[in-house]
Amino acid sequence: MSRQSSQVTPTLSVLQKHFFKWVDKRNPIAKAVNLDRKNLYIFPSLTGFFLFILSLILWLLGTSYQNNLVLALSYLLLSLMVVAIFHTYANLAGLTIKTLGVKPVYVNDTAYFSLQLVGHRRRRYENLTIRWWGGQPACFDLQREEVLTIQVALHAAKRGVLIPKKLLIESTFPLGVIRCWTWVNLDTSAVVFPLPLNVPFPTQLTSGESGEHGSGGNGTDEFDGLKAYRAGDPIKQIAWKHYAREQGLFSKHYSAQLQRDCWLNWDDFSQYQGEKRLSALCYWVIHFDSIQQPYGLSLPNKKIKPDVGEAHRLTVLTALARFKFNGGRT
Amino acid sequence: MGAVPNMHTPQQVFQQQKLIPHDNLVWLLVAQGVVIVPLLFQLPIWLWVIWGGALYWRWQIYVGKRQFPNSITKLLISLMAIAGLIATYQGAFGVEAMVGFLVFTFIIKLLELQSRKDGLLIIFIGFIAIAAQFLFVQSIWATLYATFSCIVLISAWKVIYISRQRSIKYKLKGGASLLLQAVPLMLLMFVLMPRLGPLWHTPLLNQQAQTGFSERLSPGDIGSLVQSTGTAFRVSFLDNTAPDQSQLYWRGLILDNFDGRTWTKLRLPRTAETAPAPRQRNPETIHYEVLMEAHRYRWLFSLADPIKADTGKVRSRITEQGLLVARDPLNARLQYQVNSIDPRETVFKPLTTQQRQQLITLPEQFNPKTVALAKTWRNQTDSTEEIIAKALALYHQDFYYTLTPPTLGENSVDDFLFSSKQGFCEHFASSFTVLMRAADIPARVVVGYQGGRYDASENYWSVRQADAHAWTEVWLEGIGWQRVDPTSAVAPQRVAQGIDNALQAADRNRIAAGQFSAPQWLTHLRHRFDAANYIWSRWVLSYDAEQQNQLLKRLFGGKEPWRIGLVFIGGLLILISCYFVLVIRPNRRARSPLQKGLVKFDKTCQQWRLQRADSETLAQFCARLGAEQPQLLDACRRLATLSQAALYNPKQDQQVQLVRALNQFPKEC
Repeated sequence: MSRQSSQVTPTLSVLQKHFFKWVDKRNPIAKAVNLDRKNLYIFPSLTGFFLFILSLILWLLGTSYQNNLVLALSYLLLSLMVVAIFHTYANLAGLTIKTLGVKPVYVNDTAYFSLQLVGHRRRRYENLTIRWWGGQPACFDLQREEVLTIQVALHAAKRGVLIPKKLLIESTFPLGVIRCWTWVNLDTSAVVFPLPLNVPFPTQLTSGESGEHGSGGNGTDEFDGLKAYRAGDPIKQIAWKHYAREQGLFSKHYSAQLQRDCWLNWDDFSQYQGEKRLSALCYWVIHFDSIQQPYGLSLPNKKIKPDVGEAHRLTVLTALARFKFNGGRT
Repeated sequence: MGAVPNMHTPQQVFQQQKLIPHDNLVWLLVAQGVVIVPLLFQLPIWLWVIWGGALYWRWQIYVGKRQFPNSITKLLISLMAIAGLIATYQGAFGVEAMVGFLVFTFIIKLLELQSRKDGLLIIFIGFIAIAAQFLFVQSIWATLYATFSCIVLISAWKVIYISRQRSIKYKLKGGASLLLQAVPLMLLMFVLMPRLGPLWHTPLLNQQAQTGFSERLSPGDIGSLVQSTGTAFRVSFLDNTAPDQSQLYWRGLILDNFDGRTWTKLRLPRTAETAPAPRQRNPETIHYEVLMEAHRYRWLFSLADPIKADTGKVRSRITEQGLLVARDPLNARLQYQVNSIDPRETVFKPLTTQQRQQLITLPEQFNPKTVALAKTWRNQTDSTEEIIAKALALYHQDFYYTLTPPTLGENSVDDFLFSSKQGFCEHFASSFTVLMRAADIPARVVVGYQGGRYDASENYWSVRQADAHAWTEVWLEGIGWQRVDPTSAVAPQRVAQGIDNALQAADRNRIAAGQFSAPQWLTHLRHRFDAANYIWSRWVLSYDAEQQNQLLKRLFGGKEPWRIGLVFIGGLLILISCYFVLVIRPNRRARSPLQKGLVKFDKTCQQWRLQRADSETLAQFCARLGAEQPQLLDACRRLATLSQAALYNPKQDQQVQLVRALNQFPKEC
């Protein structure tokens, strides 16, 4: 790993583990979840406990001074707490959460999961907090009949498929003394591409795996001319003679190079180990995509034919993201 | 804080939420002001200055001209304030000092107010401040104001959690509706929660002056007392035993020691003597209930002569002088019931020689003219009654009843009787007692209240400070103590109709706030308000364990814990279902049969995976449905026809048919 992610997924306490087990039993994974009394939990917040203590203090004061109005005030605070239970519950009930999708990200980026929130037709929702387990919280309001699309962030620390654990939606509106919340299991996941690693293109080119287009045979084609060196041009193609004459750094280009497809071969990157190897491949995918060079990918268990374009790029990067190290490890 | 750039993503909104938005800050400042203003009137004036300063500072922070104070500054301010409080209260650790400190910390919290947590602290201290206010005043007005304070506080509290722009009216309405919803449950708890007695000895409010008269009576004392507003106590007579107004002499204190100018209580060694017993076994009694305002003295008021008193938790006794006295000064409102002997009957207990001697003692060298006059009367006759009559006749001649008598010299009684001849009730009572004593008749001054104002609607007497009065009791051989009110010789209407009618116009205006000269409607309003306050005091402020027991017995037939618990749980369930209907599904408005039928129809159609669009008429939808589901074609056509018919035919039965068809779709009806 190049950098330790700043946000470490919190570990679950025993209590939470049991709680989540119970939650999972009640709420199976779904694309859309409607919040009602079956999946909403409610409990006094810390502020609520303070309010209770305040009410107790007032009760003691009222009793000591035999002051009925102070007693009434103490009871009023308790009653407010009871009323707040209903208001807080009503502030979440009837809300429907639907997953819309998520854009793929690179490692160490933040994945923004798009969620669609639809409330009860005639109800307002105030000051709701939403976050993934271990993710960054976000706040939103919902007007009557409003359909809100919200991006909920989660840090992508590892290459692969990021499956968020649980979605927390909570609210302490209107008084902050009661917390109503839910942990929702949503069926959504984000693809996390490897972190691009800027490495030179491998020089030892393996041939024979080429398809009908041939591959890697850059050197065998007819010389086309010189072009200014661009980072990433193979060392082999550098016009050393020109460089020696201090004319600058140039790459020799061959006529076939632009038309011919280029293969990103797993085996070519054998000098890099583990994730680094994927990162290197990822870098070259991005590079070829930026110069519109058709490229193919050859992994131990997967082969993608050369192509170019956004869809192709996603396919290739997803293949990299989903790549599993197993027996084929070198 | 610094300049916060515009933040819009939900994540940033969450970060912002920890701080108090400027709009909410104003709410908190206003709520705090509303709460502490009534307290500031009870506290040292310099707290106003601190409040103003803190507000100014906070405003400067708001506009960015100043920083939040550092901890050293805050410490300095706090130390100064504590020193100020100690200086103001001379180190007395009483309620005022504590409330003063509370209000001070409350104010100084403004200078730290930046996060949501600080806002919550402000709100919570605000509630304590409201409670503190109740320690000082508990009238209806105070309660109404406190209700208003609660609305503002709850609104400000809720505003902390509202993140978007809303109108002030919306926010206030939110606070008021929360309060309104909380009140029923509060009432339930107020009525049913068990009441305990005071848990420990609590510091008292030391600043609140004792009200009513003191243990000394000098000329002019009652005159100034009459000018103070306020109610001394309220009485309701039970069992239809109310005597005539002229008989309502509320005895509070007996003064039997005269030093030439001031009457005081004789300090006697405490004897085990008990109250005098009535002559008959079962005498006629007057039964009444007194709701006494806290006056911070030990004496309670009763009619002559009390033979039985029930003062609840407060311990009291009836003295041998026939007075009702509590063991401790009355620091809270007290409700007590007394049985007094009917005025036509007397209690009799012979005086000892020593007592008799004390009761005719006068200071030597004082008031020679008065003493001489009494001596001549005594020489003329042996009859005590005749002497009393002579004295009353003297007053009847050319004495003048006024609130503003001229100041008297060293021999105050001589000056009053022989030169100024103007005085208030204490002048008459004092001089009359001196005359009696000089004539060898045991006599004493009684202070208390006379009369009261009867409120017919609530059937009670309201006795105000303005009804304060002083009179004399003389000892009649073989009969006992007899009340003589010399004031009635001068101003009979004082006793018969109350003080309002006994004074001259000039004096009436002198009475506080033009109490007697107000227009009729205002007087009427004031009387209504007094009645409301009486009910308030009697049913709300004095609702204690005993009243609770009575009420529970009357309402639910007992006060066993299980019964009360059952009632409480029942009430709670009812309230909770009300809350559920009101809060959780407030928008499920009653639907017309047609709307209900449409909902049912839409539900039925879901089985064919067809959804009626919002803009689609019933006929259009039927056509669509019929096209997709041929087996329903007939039913669809029928429904479409019916819907058109119901639309254009105003007759009721068409609609009924349509509703039935909708409900039974696709069956034929």
